[in-house]
Amino acid sequence: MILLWGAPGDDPLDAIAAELARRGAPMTVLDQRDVLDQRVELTIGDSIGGTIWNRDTPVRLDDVDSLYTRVYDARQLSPVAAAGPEAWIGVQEIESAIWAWAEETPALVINRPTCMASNGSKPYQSAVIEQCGFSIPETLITTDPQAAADFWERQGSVIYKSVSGIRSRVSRLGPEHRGRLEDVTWCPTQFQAWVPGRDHRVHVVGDAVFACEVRSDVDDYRYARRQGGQCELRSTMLPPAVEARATATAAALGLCVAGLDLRQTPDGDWYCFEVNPSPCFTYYEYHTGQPLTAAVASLLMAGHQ
Amino acid sequence: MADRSPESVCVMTPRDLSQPGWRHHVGASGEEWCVVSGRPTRTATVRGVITRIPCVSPADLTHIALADREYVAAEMTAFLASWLTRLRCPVLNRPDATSLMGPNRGRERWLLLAARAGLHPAERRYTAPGHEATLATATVAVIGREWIGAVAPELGVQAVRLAERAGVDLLTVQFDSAAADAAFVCAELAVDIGADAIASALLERMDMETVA
Repeated sequence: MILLWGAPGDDPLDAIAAELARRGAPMTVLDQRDVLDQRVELTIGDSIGGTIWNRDTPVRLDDVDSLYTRVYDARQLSPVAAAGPEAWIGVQEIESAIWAWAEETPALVINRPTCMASNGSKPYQSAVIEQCGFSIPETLITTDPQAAADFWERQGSVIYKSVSGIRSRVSRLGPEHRGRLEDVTWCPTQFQAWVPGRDHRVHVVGDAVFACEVRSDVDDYRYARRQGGQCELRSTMLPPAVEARATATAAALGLCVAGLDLRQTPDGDWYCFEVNPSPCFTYYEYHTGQPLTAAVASLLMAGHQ
Repeated sequence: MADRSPESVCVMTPRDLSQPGWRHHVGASGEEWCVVSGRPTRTATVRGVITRIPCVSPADLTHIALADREYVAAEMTAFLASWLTRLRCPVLNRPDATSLMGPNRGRERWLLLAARAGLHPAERRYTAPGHEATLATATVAVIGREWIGAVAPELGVQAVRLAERAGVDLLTVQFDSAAADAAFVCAELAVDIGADAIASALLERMDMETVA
């Protein structure tokens, strides 16, 4: 049986559920919004098993061959928020138990929580990325305004972005930021040498690689419309060596499915900025026609078989 | 420990991450600087780190505007994960992606690891929400491959084995009694550095005993 854990209404989760249903694969959706009506009983020996009770319906964990997770911060879910802080403790206990099982089960898991955690720190994750052969941008993380100014002057063009996995818009430093550099004293702030070139979003799904070229006139194509810019995505092929590097990076991070943010420079070097362990692949599928949902579904079914 | 060895042990707190002076380079070389007890310090002079927090919490950041605390806490935690990982000196425990103090397993996974390591878990069933945990009455501190605790030697050996399996240097292992046949209750990555024997063993581990 394939277990999908997340909040229906989320595009990738819905797409996978629809594809599995179309193929007639045995599947259960564990709706995260129902967490207040769920409970977990784990049995712990040399292995970990048990049952998740989804209201009165048992989901026997030993029957799960594959797990796909698209889990949100439960505090953002309206039933949990409405239930108040006392309920939040119970929610944490339930999610902790499910994640513990997800970490240890022999089932195929997209993706295991400790593997996804690397995305919580971009510079931490970049150590693995670099070991796998990609270039990473020269980076300074500092609370020192003068160090930031010196780095900016030395590099010529510099972007700043969050250190953590919290999504932030990548922005290039401009004259309007000069007076705000003093603010870095409050919190270590990440500055990176701006790397010229063409963005690529690459999805690794098991052994398969789907590359997408991004043509955009803004620094962060994800926010192109908001910045008054344009963004065009199209399917492309990577050089075999880069493709191999992408699969090696996902494997080194322990990720069955991953979204890599790459940039090819004019002189042919390949940089990797980040590896997303829970990519919203439906956005890229919509724009390129790449069969990403089908690939993830096949991977889940292979785990099932 | 800082009281015991004030010349060689300094305390770094989340507040130090809101002080000018930090410089951490990734993907390039450059002189690394940190801030310890409010003083900018060359990172190369740090001879060892004992990490006492799994993450920076918003509650640690009373000097930050309330609306920004959660974001700043996540940023500081992410920064420290990189900084601690790249230090060349001993770091106890080395952080991983889940916690600055080392691999964060949670009670369920500690019970599983203990069972796999040949210990006797006090619980074979775990229920959530509302799990009622077995009471721990005896503890063993593991430092490297040494152990400290008023327990039967068999438990000390078990505790060291568990730490080895977990891949950590520092671990407190809890049992339901001090007897040789005690059951494993849980483990945590912090050790009681206020205890003299543990503090001494840690300083020794850090090769700071001559200074202390």
